[in-house]
Parts: sequence; C-alpha cells; structure tokens
Amino acid sequence: MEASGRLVAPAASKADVAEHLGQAGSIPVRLRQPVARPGPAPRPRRREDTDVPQEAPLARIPLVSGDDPDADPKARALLARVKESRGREVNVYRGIANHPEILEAVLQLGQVAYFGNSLPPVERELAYYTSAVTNDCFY
Amino acid sequence: MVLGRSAGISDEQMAHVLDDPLPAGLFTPAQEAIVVFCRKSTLMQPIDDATFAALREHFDTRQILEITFTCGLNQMISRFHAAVRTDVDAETMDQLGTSCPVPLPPSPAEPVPAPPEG
Repeated sequence: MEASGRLVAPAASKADVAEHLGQAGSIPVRLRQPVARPGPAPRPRRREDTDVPQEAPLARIPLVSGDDPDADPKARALLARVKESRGREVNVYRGIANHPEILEAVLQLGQVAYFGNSLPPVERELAYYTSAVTNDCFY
Repeated sequence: MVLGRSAGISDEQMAHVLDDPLPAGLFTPAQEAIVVFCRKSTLMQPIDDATFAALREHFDTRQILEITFTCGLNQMISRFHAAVRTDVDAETMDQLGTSCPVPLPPSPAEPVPAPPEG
C-alpha cells in the first residue's frame, strides 16, 4: 500500500501469494467465496458492495437475448456481432443491450480503444485487467 | 481474467498487480508504468508527474490515450456492473476452473461478509 494509505483496493499481497503459490503458480481459492484474510482489518468495501440485500436478484435489469424474436432488432444485430467475435453474447453486453444505441457506442469504443490499439497484447490487457481487479470486477 | 490469460499475462503477474510497490522484476518497466497508472486512475487518485512521466518514457501520445481509454473502458463497465449487478458469465467462471490468480469478490447475489467488530 502507498505511504498515503489511500490505495485501499484488495491485494493478493506478497504474503498471501507466498503462502498459496506453491509449485503450481496459481492461488487455489474457492470461486466466488469470501477469502479470509489474516492480519490487519480487511479493506473497507465500497458502498455499492455493502448495501447488497440478502436476497438480491442476479441482476437488476433483464439480459437481452439475441435469440429473442421480440427483442429490439438493433439489439439483436449488435449481440450477433458480439457472439461472432467473442463466441457468446456475454452478459455485460446483454445488459447494455437494453439500450441498443449505448451498446453500439460502447462496442465502438471497445473496438477502437482496446481491440484496435497499437500496444502488445499483454500491455493492452494489463490496462484493462488492472482496472478490473482494482474495481473488484472480473469480466 | 480469462482474457488476461489468453493475452499472455501470467497468473503470477495477475496476482500481484495491486502490490505496492510491485515486485521487482515481475513486470517490465513499461508494464509497471501501465499498472501504476491504471491503479491510480481507477482509484481516482491524482496522476502525479512521476506517474505520467513513466508512461511517457515508454509510450507515445497516441499509445497513452489508448491506455487511458482502455483503463477508462473498464471503469465504465465496472460502474455499470455495480449499478445493475449483472452476474459474471457462467462460461467465464467455467474457464477459470477451480483455481484463480486472485480472490474473487462475493457474487452480487451473495451476502457480503460483515465488517469486523471495532
């Protein structure tokens, strides 16, 4: 953590990794289970994490399906493009497809800023991945 | 994470991106510049001159914009998830298998552990 103490995002700290890495080079954890952390108090969770109701639904908005004949034609066409490039529709895009014009713009930004950029693949993905981990968001 | 692996980021690198300082030798200087910048940007910390100079040392202006907007794209998507709580795709979870480079947060549908007393 920084001297200022403001870097509060979760970390697979050196101690954590040293404890868990072993020979395999990856940290075995049970997926989607809270991980007990020894030592100081855990990092504070952001507000949107702490007010989750006990019986929250999986999502607050419907996930549009490109296979749904009643779905917006533009949304269906965009999801078909996603499926063609990613192999599936991907939940995040299915959610955004509730507003096809926004989905179109997001896909365009992703195409230009991410897929079309000039960086080597590792560096390109590090920019996205670092932000995802910092955000506790693993897409 | 699946995309990270397919792009060539090692599991060890994935597990250490939030270490501060980053482990010596695990990332190239150019990769370190990206990680430090994106971490600060996502946490909405000031991007000080040293952080930007590190980017400038390895990347041209066009590439710095690509890094900035790639990082920002994730921030936008993450805020979307936080608002509507879409679940991670089953396919993504399946591809991660039984081990994962970093501990995953609770699912939006799962109760969040209570904070420690005191």
